[in-house]
Amino acid sequence: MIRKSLQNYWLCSLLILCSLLSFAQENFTVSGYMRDASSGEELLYANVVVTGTTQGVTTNLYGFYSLSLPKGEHTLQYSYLGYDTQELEIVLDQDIRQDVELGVASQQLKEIVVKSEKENENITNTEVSVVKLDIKETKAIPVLLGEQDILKTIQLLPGVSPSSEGSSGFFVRGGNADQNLILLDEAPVYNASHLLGFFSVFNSDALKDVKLYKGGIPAQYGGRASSVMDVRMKNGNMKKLTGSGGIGLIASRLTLETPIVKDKASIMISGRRTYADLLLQALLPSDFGDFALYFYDLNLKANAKVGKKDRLYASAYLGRDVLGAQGLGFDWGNKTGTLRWNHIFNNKLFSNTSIIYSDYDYGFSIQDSGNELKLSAGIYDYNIKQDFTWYAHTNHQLQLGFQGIYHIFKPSIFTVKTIKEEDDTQEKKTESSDEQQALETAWYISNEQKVNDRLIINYGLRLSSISNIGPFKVKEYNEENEIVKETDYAKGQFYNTYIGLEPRINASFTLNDISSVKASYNRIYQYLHLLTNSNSGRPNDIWVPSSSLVKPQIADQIAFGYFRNLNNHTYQFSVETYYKNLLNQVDFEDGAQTFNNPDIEAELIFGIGRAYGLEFLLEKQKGSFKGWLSYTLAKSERKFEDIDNGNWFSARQDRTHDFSLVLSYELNPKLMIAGSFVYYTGNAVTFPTGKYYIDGELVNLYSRRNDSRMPDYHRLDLGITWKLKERKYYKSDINVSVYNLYNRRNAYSITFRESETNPNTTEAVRLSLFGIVPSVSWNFNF
Amino acid sequence: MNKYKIIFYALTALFILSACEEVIELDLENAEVRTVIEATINADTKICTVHFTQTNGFYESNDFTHQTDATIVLTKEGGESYHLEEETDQYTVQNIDIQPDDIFIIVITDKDGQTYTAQTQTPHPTNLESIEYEELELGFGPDSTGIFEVYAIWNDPVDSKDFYRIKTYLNDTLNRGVYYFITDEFSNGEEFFLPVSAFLEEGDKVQVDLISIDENTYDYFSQIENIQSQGFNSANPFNPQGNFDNDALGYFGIYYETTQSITID
Repeated sequence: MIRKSLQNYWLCSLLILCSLLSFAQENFTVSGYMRDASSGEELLYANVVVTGTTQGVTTNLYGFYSLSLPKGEHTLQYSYLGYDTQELEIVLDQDIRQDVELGVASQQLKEIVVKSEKENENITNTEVSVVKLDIKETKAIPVLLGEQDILKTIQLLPGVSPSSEGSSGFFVRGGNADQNLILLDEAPVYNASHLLGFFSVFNSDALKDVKLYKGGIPAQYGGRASSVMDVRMKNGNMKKLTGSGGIGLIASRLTLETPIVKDKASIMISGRRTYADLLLQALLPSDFGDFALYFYDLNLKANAKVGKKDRLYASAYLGRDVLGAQGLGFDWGNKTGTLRWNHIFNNKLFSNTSIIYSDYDYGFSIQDSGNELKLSAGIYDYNIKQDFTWYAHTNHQLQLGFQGIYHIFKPSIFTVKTIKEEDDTQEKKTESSDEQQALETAWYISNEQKVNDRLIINYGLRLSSISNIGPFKVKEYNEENEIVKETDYAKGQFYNTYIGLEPRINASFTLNDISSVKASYNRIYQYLHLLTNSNSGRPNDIWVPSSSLVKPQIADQIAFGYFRNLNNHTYQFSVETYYKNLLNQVDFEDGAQTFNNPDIEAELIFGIGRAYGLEFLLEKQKGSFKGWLSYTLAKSERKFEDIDNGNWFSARQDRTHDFSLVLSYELNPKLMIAGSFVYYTGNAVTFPTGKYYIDGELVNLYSRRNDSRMPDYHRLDLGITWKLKERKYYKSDINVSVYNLYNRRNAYSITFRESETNPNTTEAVRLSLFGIVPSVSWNFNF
Repeated sequence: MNKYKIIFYALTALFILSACEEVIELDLENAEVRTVIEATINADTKICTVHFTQTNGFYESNDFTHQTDATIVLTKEGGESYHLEEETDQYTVQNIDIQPDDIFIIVITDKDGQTYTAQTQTPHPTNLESIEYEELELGFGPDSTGIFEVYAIWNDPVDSKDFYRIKTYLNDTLNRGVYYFITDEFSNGEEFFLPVSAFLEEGDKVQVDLISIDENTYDYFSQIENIQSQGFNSANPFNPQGNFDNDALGYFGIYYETTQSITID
């Protein structure tokens, strides 16, 4: 019944759009790919403009563009930041295919490069609340232990803040950490952290492009309430064998790219592993026995062009953390795999089909005299996705498609292996709760419409749904969290379907060549929830689907922005404001038992949230002196009936002020210095206001939830990159960086205890993790 | 410190490099003063003890204000009532007529006329069968570790819902801050064989108290245990809610206790 109505809806909207757009045109189309001349990598979001007009288009996520123009002669300008702009004369008397390769801007040529007219791309596009990172640029920014990390660079931008010191976890515009959709080659990454979050799973060497949507999220994305981070891996060099890598204090990495068939097929392989355990092993006496402490990442991608119209991609990621000693083991990690097929139906219709697998799981194990106790849990996704880009008309560019994700949730499963006698092993498996399945689907359509020279509107609609699928036993609970009713669903039986209609709209109005105003609204449904009772993410936090008790989270966000370029586009300035309303937020009851609890749903409570703020960004992207200044003034609150008598309270990530300054300066072609400074208001936390004795032990007395503040956080990092003499076969540089230069003792946590020096009092103890941390790494490429 | 601990410290140190702990002064607001009641009946000695105090501010001393001149009445459902006598810092009464499953109600009236009431049911006594020690074995590494673990063994009664607390003493000193609470929910009627104290060396004397507690005590201390784990990984803190009404902190519980000790040689 539901599926039928979905189909009808879909057909209707298609028909309406077709009729809207099927007016006769004396136009022809120029289409093709834009690529990097040296590697053959596609350039995403690159610009194609008709010289002397405002008509133009940007390449899509696969580097494809299509532009419909009246019959006749045109001059097209192809440009991309950091590349030489190319101009091409074309004669349009039929549809033509025009692939273009751009060369990297060289130092000498810089002066004579034709000034690209799309230097004000940031002004004219409809994107509001979007953060783009140039991965090459981020390499100079100093980071903890010299491990480059896009997630940490992104936290230096307005509206994005780290979850804790040195962490790769992040909050976007006051949202929760589980409200960020992180996609790696379209596959969701459920836990993007390594080692307590100090490092992210993204090895910069393997990546090509990163884009973060803080708001105004386009209709093709959905499923998380606060943001979308779309990360794309490199395809692999189509021209020649190249490589890059580095040796750092805690990890080494190597990436190789090579054509299989020149200009037709290529492959990229990239790996990284930390070696703290190997160092320790060498340092400690040999009778310590085995232990492990490391993480690794492996990225693999292959792609091939098949004829002029088809292209196939296969990409995979595998990463894992392993911690173990003395018969105890703990490991966790993500796996993703993506198969994609790009097909150009005609020069106006581009199609992408993806089949995606993604999982996240963790396991504990305890071994003792041959007996083994294991606990494991995870989430497993099978995903199919179809996207079309339809260049229907010069002024209308449509995106439409659908997606289906089959989720399998495996809650904690205990396996006990006991060896009674030799060759007599008994295995007993118990599940704390049953495996769950769910189907999440979405249909979307959006149109980017140039209303006139000044106004562009991108409007769309996403229709999403989730259904739980049997076999499953649904339990209902009373106030005392006792089971009052159980309903059994058979294998394959759909039950409990939620449907969400998600309108999305972005608009940009160009005031003049150097300034514009933009606005956006989006509604997003989130059907998966990360249940966590800790103040920081833990590897064993579990994802659960919406159910009869846990309703989908809904986020509504409006944002307005003013964009202005200064000093001949040298500086880009923007100010944005947003208001976000969150429904069906999930939290735990006080004192909830979260670990391995089959009735965990009974301990959940539901509330609402709101977040609003003002973000400023001033950026300089050109010249030897680059960098940005970012400031956010924001508030994020939650309200739960069962917490603090239903009053609004600050969300933990509520940070009133958040300031970052990032600067880099190229002293000469060989030497570059870069620095960053951050300052933000401490997290909202619940500190004790008093104390009392129970059973001879001091117990803290608390008053209101999150009514206190951690001390303000600030830190200065500095780094120098020195290019070494170019060798015949490779180039290399040395990066020396200092994290926390003035050794600020930022509080990672504050605990309360009986005073050691004055036994009749209590005291607060600050734990600070990183003082001044210098590091050095050697990086090379060929 | 033995070498097995060293490795864990070394690993931790590696993570956190220059991590450092420092006592700092925080500007903590003083919350309103609240009433704290810890009322217990030791069913073996048949004595009821009530600590009736108030909370202190965080930066005030740890000496707590005993609330004087309270009227405390303990009543056995369908039975006798007892008036508790005030002592220096507590209220007590002896010779209570108490049997398993008896329900007791306690009513405390402070000098301003505020009353606090709680009720609970007497648990069933369970005897500690024995305690034993074993040398810790590893699946790898050196053969003799020199590290011992102590186990407590007892039989859970089949026909009652039982809750236990274990207290351990190392060389006559209570292992403070260790909350060890057990329910028979998943192992009713079975023999319990639980490790209760680890990292012991030769010559150590270990005393184990097996305390049979009522469900209210179990629920209350489960909450205490939950908030006592602090730090970056902790849950949102809250005030544990016991079985007293009128917003009083604390609990009213009844217990039986058995004790054994062992020396590792």
